[in-house]
Amino acid sequence: MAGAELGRIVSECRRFARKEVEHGLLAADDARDASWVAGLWKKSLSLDLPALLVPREHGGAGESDLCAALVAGSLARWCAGLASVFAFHFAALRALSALPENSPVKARLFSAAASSADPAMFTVILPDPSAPELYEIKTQNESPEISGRSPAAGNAALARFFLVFAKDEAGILNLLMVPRGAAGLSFGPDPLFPGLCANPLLPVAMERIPAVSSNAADAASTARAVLLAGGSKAEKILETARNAFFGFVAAVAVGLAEACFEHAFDYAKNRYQFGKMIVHHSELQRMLGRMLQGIKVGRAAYTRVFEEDSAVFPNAGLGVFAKTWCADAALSTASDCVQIFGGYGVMHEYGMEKRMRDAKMLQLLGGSTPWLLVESVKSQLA
Amino acid sequence: MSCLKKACPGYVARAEEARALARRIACDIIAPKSLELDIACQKDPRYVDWDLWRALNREKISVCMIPKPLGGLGWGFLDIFCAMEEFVAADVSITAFFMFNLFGPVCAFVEFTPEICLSLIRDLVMAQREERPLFFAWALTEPSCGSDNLNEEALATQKPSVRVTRAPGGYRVSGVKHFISNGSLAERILLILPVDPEHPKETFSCFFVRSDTPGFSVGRVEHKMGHRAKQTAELVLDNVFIPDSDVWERPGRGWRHTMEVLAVSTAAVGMLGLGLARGALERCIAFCRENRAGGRLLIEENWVQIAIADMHRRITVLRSRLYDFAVAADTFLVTRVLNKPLVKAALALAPERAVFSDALLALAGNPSLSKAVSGLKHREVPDEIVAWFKSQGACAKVSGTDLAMDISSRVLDIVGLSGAAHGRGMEKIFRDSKPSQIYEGTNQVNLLSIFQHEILAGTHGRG
Repeated sequence: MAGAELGRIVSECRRFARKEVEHGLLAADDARDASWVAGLWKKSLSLDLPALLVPREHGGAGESDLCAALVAGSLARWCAGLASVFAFHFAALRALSALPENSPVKARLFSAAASSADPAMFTVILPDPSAPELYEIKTQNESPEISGRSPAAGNAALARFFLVFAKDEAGILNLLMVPRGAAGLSFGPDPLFPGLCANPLLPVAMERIPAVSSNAADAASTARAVLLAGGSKAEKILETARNAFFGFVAAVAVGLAEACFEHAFDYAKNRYQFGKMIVHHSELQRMLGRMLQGIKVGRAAYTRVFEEDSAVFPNAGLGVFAKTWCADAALSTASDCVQIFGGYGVMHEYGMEKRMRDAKMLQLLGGSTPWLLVESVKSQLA
Repeated sequence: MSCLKKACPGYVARAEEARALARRIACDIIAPKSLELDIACQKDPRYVDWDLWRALNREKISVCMIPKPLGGLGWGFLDIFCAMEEFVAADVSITAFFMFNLFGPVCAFVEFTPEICLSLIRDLVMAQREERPLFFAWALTEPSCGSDNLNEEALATQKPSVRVTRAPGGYRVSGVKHFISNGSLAERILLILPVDPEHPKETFSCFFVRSDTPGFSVGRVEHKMGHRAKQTAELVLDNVFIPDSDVWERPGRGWRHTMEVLAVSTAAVGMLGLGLARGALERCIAFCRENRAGGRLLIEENWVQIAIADMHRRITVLRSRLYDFAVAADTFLVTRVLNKPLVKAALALAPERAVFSDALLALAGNPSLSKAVSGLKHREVPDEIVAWFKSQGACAKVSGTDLAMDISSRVLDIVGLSGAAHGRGMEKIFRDSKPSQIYEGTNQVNLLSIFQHEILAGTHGRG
């Protein structure tokens, strides 16, 4: 896609966010009520955001992953919680894209996401290196069932379809789709995480949900899980979904950091101390410069995640490093922004402390930096 | 501490008693309320748990600095620091809610005029016995001047918004003070501000105001990231009249008052940082002992062990430095006057009703006596000692609060999303840590003060 077209989409997203998101985001953060996001989800139909990554042949916009990342980053300038909804949704669609073209479930799910009246929200629950195995498949009377519990899943309050990875008794990884109406699917109380409150992450428990093959006659049942892929295919899809999810989270982190930088820069140009505006103090300039360093390198990193892999410019597995860099930069930027605002920075109404809480959560999504770094080397040893 | 114990067994025994008392209060009273109060105060920033206040009041924490013969606990700085670490490890905002009330006695002891000290001691002790809340607030920050008031150079160039005019028999004050800890609860307020906005440093003053003074009102109570159980309020002054008798420090002397208060309050904030860091680490270790990843307990991971040991190391080193500060403060600041044998003997022998009598208070108001006693204290605690402690306090403040921010964030990286739930307490400590890097002067302004005092003024290494 041409840069001009991407620029147009980003501009439209920012206009949308300014009009629809700015008002009410602090109240939604306080209330931890997903209904605010539900309303915006419907309004985002005007930009075709729910179907942004759905291929055109399935009725979607057929845009690129990079476009989706830029959209998530644009929304994050106002509300990282809302942006995270799209990060989980886009990552799930990315996983579905990796299924065979002739998969009837894939067509059905893409159609649901591309519905012009009531687009379905998706989410993907990915393994977290700092937590035990989330789900497992056990076979009872030759019927596989999925059970387990995730301590926190994005979009849990609103998603209609959950994509889940689980190993069976033989240790083979499977990808399953669990519809919201599945018997045995339940949600725990809000753990009250510090950030991303507009998208409250909830524990998701699955208690012996029967799983059927995607070719089974009752695969369209809303009460059962559907086995979408197994073995090496599922491993490959997991890798794809994680890489994309980390890229989207990196974009959200950079969007958040950009907003922090702009607010801090504006404030520093208007706050007088030691006989001059504080932006003229070189320590402030150093702090602002460090913010720019994080943002610019982060932006380069996450855009590279979504470019073609090649022998000259390899980018396989770059997502985890983009995510860890960008999330760390977002927290550092948000913390420095609060520091520059002084007392105003920790007051809720100025919105800076919210960004700092959100940034901390971005660090933890899918695994915190040290866990992911350790895992990145362990995977090379395996 | 063991060397000090040999040299001053009584002094160390009192600190150990204070720690033991504080540990019991932290376990029995503070910790059980911590998380529920955080949520209640997020919903309503004006919420006060008065049952909690009564429980703490019964333990005499509000009068901990008052000498024992007069009904207090007789704590010095080392005792307070030992206790604070225990309180804060349980919950910093509840600690701030009641410990920031020490601004009252600290400010009075800094002045050290007999009338101010006696009336404050009497009122605090009576309020404690009658289970009647008596809050103090130290009002320094204005909308356009925050950390400016904590640095000599920034103070000299600041643009204050509160206006003070001379009136017959006193001053009239108009404007807004904001971000004032316990400002919405305080019955007695110390206003720190310049009389002449064109010459702030030369006219910095300290005024005493009661909340029922005509023209005084409380504005909004802030909705904050952390420290929610400690209210932070805006104070509105609409042509408030302050008689000359309530001018604690006349124009030009307010800077010294501020420095002496900050000398101990910044170090105390450093202690808050230490308590926050310890609280975060303790919760992290407990979590890592119970939870698994990849089939192993988190505590069995080599990198987790190294990280925990590193955090423990940093806490241990800082604790030692902070206790050194407290011992030095007891030796050289105002508590040294209270610990003089003559003062101690007088307090021990005088009947309480005589000390608290109106007759003695009237006598204490004698201007000559006030001048003599206050002068004696200022000779005992000269300006250069105050300046040294101000610099050391700034070092402690920056070290403690940066440590708190770093460790509270790092433990969340170790425990991951599961450990970041509110019920685990670690995310709250993360939220509580950030404000501590800002209040009592941003860490940057404190670092500049350290540079100006320790490097520019050439005192580096003399400590």
